[in-house]
Amino acid sequence: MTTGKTMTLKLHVWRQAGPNAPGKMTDYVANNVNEHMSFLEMLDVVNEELTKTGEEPIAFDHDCREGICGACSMVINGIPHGGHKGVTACQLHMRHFQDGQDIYIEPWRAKAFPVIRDLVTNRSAFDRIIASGGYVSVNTGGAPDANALPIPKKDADQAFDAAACIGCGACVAACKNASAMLFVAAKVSHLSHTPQGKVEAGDRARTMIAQMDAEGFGTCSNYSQCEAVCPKEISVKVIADLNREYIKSSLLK
Amino acid sequence: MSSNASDARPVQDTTPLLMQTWQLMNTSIGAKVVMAVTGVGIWFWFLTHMAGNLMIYAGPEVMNSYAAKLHATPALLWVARIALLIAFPLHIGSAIRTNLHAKAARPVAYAYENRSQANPGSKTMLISGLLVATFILYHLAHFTWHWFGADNVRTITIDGLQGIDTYRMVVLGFQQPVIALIYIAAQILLAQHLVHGLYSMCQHVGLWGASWTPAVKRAAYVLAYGVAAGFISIPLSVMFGLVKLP
Repeated sequence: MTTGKTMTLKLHVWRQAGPNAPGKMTDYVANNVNEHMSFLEMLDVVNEELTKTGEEPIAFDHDCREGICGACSMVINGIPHGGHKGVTACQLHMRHFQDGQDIYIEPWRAKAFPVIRDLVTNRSAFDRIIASGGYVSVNTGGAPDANALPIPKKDADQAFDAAACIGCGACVAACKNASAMLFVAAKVSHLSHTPQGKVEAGDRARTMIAQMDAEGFGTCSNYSQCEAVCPKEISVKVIADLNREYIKSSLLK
Repeated sequence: MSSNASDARPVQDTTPLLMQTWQLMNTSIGAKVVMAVTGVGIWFWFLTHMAGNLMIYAGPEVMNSYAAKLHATPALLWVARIALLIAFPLHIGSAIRTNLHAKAARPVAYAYENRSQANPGSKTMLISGLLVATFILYHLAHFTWHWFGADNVRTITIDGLQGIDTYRMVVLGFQQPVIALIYIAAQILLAQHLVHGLYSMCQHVGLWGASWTPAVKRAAYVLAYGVAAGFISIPLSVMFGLVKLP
């Protein structure tokens, strides 16, 4: 990288050697950070330096680095993914920071997301919630013609808006109650707006909420902090969809 | 029963509706439904209470006559009292339960304070609610049980009914600035509790519309602070001498 301003940052990073090891915030100076780097590339540079000095590099989750996989997960200065609207940490660029700025980097904090190492948390709780009901039961057979099932544009749009969820868990990390309602609601709303998923909508809402409660997530208090940090900008409207579906199916099952 | 042993989907449920309601109340979403439903109930009582209080502007005869008639209708009074005696413990109980749940859900706090957006009033619902509940007990001790301020309570006969001179009791009570200021502070606290509460009720029972949910949020401000203004006007009118003893 030849163009762009270079800056120096003062990092405060959560370091924890293992799931049961004690952790603490540790200070690092990040030198030679180009303003065009992504936040994860900045951490790559820091880790390169740490490797040279023999220190263990900072562990963090990442995969696609283009904002679509939901792997990167860090709370930057108190906001999951750093608070730049509609982006994941991997798509957050260093030009949004000032030279010499202090940056606090922490893992998602929730009982249901235990820290594995440094900034990496175990988000299997989400997988178990999906396994409990986040699917559509389809008997195998000949694939129907794509246009044989008419779906109103409005329903398709609502399903698609909810389906944008990448399951990163920023909603849980931001919520004062560490509630997973936006995640679960996105899945329930997504599937219940399609004819294939509508059939099991009630059972799905109940089994997924039962699993969500069992995993130890908090309850929803409508702070809307989840919506504010969601990299896919999913509206709390889906939570109302879930509440309606859940209440209806709990009383009319 | 399903013929397919591997099919994990629930079979036909024959649990009675009352049992289903109880089971729902014990889930995370159900606890919030309890909060919303009892909240609506308490809010309706709050509105009728304000309507009664505003009769103070119609003068001592109208207000005392209303009070005497209300007390001469014990059925109505006790239905309301029993409903509130059920609603308040459920509302407060759900609040404490879900708050403990939320605390347990985040055992390790963030080093850097969470700065994601939220209405400050929404994050302090438990505190504002408990303070208002404390105020209500103090308010009952004053105007209903007469544990203090009993010197201002005088028995009268109005419309052939025995009652207390409510008008006189309220005016003499609010002529003491400390009592008036505590009342005003409690109303403001309650208003900001309701700003989040009124919107939240809709969300918890699944009422959401792209066109009207923003209007509900704005209406919550108008309703919450509007009702508080109605209540607050009474101690202010007494303090400024607009409402006084005849």
